[in-house]
Amino acid sequence: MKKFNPTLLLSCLILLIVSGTALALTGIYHLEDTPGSTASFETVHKVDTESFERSEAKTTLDGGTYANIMQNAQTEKPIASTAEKGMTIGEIMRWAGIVAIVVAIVILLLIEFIYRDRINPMNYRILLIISLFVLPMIVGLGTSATVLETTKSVQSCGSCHVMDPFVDDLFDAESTTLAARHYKNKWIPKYQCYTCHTTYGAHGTFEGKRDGFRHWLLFVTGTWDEPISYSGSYPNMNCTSCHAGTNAFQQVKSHRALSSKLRADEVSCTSCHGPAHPTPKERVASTDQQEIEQRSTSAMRKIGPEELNSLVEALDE
Amino acid sequence: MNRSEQNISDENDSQEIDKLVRTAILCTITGMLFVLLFLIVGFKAWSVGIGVFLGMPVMIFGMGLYIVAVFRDLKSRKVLDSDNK
Repeated sequence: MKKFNPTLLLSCLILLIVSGTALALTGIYHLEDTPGSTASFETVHKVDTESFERSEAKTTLDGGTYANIMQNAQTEKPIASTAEKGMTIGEIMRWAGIVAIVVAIVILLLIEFIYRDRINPMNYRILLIISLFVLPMIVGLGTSATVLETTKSVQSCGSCHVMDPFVDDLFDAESTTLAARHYKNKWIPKYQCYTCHTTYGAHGTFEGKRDGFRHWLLFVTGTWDEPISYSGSYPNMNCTSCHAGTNAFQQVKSHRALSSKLRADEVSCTSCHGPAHPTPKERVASTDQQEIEQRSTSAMRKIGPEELNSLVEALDE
Repeated sequence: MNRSEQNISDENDSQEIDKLVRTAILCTITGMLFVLLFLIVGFKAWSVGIGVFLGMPVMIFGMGLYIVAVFRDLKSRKVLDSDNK
C-alpha cells in the first residue's frame, strides 16, 4: 500500500482559501479604483462625457426609462430600476473561473507529477474528479458568464475597429440616427447595443451565437467586406418590447393600422423611423475622412522642428 | 484465459488508462491556461479566440478523455458488468 501524505489535502484546501480570498480582494480593489478601460474607450470613440450626463446610467433597463419619458410621467425615476453596487454576477463568475483554474492546475501538477507515487489511490481519484471535472465545470460556467456579460457592453462591440463608425455615431451628439437619439436622450441608459440587438446575450438565439463566431472569424482573418451590411432580419419585437406599451406609440394612427404587419415583421419600424445607424455611404465617407486626418497627422509628425520653423517664417513673409 | 494472461491484460489496461488520464490532465491544463489568459486580459478579439474558441474545446476534450478513462477503468474492474448485479 502506497503511503499517503495527509498534509497534501490540507495544503490544497489552504491554498484554495488563501488564493480565493487574495484574488477576490484584488478584484474588488481593481474594480473600485481603475476605470482605465472605460477611459481609454471614451478617448478613442470621442465620447463627450460633459454633454452626456451618465450618472443615471447605472440602472437596469427594462423599457422603464423610455416608458416614463413617453408617458410624461411626473417622476424622473425609471420604473423598476435597480441600482448596481459592487461586483456584478459576471465579475464574480470571472473571478470564480480564475480561482478554479489556479486551484485545478496546482492540484493536477501536485498529484500527477510530484505526489503521484506517495498518494493513496482513493485520494488520487477524488482529487482527479475535483480537478478534472468539478473545477473545469466551474471554469466553463465562469467563462460563459463572463463572455455573455462582457458582450453586453458597448465597449466590447467597439473593441473591433470594424464597429468604429457605429460606436462613433452612437456618441455623436449631432447625429440623427436612431441609435444616437436613443443614447443622447438616455432612452437606453446602459448596454445600448445589446438592448436593441438582443440575439447575442445569454438569452439570445443560436443564430446569434453562430453569427458572433462568424463575425469574429471575419475580423481576425481580415476578410470582411467594407462597408459591412446587416445580413439577418431585424425583428420589430426588439423595438416594440419598449415602445408598444406607451401612449405615444398607441396614439399614432399608422401604428394601429399597421399593427398586424408590424407584428408579422412585414413592415419594419426603420422604414419610417430609420436609419438606425449611418448608411454604408456615410460610413465609407467617415472612414475616408478619418484616413485623411490620420495621414495629415502622420505627415505633420514627419516634419522636423527646423523645417517647421522655416515653413512658419515663409508663411510670415 | 489463464491467471498470468489475465494479469498481463490487466496491466496493459492499467497502463493505457494511466496514459489516458495523463493526456486528459495535460489537455485540461493547456485548455485552462488559455481560458485563464482570456479571463485575465478580458474581451479582446485575440483573447476570445485563444481563450474561448481554442481553450474551452481543449479543456472540454480533456474532460471527455478523463470520463473515457474512468469508464475504461470501471470496465476493466468489471464494475459495469451486468453479472455483478
